[in-house]
Amino acid sequence: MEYFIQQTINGLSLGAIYALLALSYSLIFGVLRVINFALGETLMVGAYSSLGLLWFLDWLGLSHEENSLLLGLAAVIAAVAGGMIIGVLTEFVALRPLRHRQSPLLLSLISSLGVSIFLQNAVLTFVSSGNVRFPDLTSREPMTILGTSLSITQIVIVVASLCLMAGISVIVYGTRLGRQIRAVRDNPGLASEYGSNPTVVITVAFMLSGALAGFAGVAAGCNYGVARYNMGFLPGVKAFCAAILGGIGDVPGAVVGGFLIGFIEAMGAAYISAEYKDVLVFAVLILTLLFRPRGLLGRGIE
Amino acid sequence: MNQSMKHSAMKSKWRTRLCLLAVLALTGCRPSVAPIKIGLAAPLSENQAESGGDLRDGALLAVEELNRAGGLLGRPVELVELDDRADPKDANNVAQRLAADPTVVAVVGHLNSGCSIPASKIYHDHGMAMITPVSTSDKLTEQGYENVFRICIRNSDQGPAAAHFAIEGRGKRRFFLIDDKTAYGAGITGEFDKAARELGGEIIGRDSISERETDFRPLLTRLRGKDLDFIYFGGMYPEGALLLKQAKELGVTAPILSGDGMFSPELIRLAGDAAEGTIVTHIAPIEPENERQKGFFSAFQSRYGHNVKVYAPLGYDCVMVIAEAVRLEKVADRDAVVRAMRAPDFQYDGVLGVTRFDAQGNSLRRIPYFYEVRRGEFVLCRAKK
Repeated sequence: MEYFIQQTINGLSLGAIYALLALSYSLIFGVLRVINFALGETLMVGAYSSLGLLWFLDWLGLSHEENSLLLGLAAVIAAVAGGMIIGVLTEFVALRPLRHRQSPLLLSLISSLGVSIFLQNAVLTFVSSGNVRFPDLTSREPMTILGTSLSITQIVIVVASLCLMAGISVIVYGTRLGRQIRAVRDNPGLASEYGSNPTVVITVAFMLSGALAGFAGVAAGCNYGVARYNMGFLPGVKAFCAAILGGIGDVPGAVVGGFLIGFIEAMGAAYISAEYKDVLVFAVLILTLLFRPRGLLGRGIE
Repeated sequence: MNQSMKHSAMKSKWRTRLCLLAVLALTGCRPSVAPIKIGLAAPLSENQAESGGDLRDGALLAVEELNRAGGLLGRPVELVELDDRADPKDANNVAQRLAADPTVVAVVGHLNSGCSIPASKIYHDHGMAMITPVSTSDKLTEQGYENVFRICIRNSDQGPAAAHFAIEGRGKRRFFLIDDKTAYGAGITGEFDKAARELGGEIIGRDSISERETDFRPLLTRLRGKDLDFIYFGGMYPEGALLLKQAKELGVTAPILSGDGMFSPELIRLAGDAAEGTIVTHIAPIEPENERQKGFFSAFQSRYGHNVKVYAPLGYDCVMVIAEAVRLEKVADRDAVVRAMRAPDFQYDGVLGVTRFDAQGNSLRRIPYFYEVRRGEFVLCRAKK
């Protein structure tokens, strides 16, 4: 039982990162019908933004052992801000010009892929080509609850991600802005007839999606203790699958899809073999698409 | 970035020196002063750049020493460095480029077995000697290519040595095996497995991870609470550091036993105190044991301002072996180098000791060095505690 609980936590902390990114994909796909392949790199930039801030504070002489909570918060804010900036820039530089020329959607996809390659290589060339140590923002000592020793980092990541995703859901389902996002998703033509400004809605969607990806970056950095220029690639691919699995364009679908993929991966490694966990993930994806093409919840955009 | 800039600055300084040398040689009435080129293929960027860079530094030191002593056959020596990024695809590219340049007489490389094996075919097709400083996979020299040489030990030396060390030396018997599915990692783990069983050890289980992966918690959680003496890991330090860190967090107490792929100061930087107690078999000395080595280590220190990190002595000796072959044959062409190194009485006395090759091209030296991480440093250790 203790074993199962620990593996569930492993799956949840992995799934939280996928879910954050899957939600990013979904938000953008919702308003533009485009897959933004630069989201994995937005995650990476998020991680490096908080690293940059921590290095800067370290240089100023603020050690993070003493003010751990405050610096942790600062790191998170830096990551979210970094992610937002990259999100908005991606839209402005790579997607908006194409949209104004009414180019086919396929071109936007390639364009976002270009942003992804650009960001990877920029960090590779100007920052570091290898693993960079990510400082511990939470205690590394395991914590014992109900006889299971759990890592604080993992719990913080899961809880914080859930809060952030809940916040995004409130925005999408509870505010005027969110109503406009959903309106543009469901029928862009009609939405602008009724007074929503698509440009504003799209920019907001990219900001939210960037914030999620940036937060995923600081979460991944904390979780593994390293950052690397291509750290976003694998989560990017898996989260894309998660978004499809849950039904792309749908907020609950993305969250369910993300956590499910993390959970399957952890359980696959736990009860079958770490060698085959990816096989298992993609088998589930294929089966889902065969029987439920609009995702597990059946609410995705076709 | 910084390092590479420094490096290119060094290179340009180097070029001026080469020119000076060329001018000197010209005034000495020699008609041909084209440099003798030796290739160096290793990961010089990305994850494994530290290991590859150290190898390059060792090789460069040898080239500089040769040139200070007047070059080879009166010609200057030049090191052509190419980056294979520890990726078999890039390794093939690098090999093609080196093979296409007829003035490159032989190659020092590659670092990773997964790169050396596909690249060896290309060098073979071009009749070019490759001498790998670091690749330990047995398969490399089992292909029957006459142009392939190895200066370090093999997996089938390293894996069993680790098993012997743990079982006979430390009296530990229960192992869990993890490999990274590469030619090196899966190979060395297989050899360890075989030897440990023969020596009466018990293999509790085996699983694999993938290179460039970061989350090993589900796998490590399985090991928690198991009665284990060692986790044997066949893989490289970027993944190894994460394994150590996550194992510590999850309360897995068994230390990791591994091969030379885990040996890197970067391991300790990334894993911190989670690396304590890790034991690795290494294929190169990193501190001097005799006068010859003392000379090398102090030359390295004064040239680069830091100590040897991982593989520098191997890179140095590889270049010197090629130089020796050129000297013996008195011509700098590809066939001659292969022929000289193939000769049964070929030998070179270098930093590692005497290098001689067997019929397959493997070095006859077969004993690894054991290192244990203690208080944040790799410390040479003996089998008996």
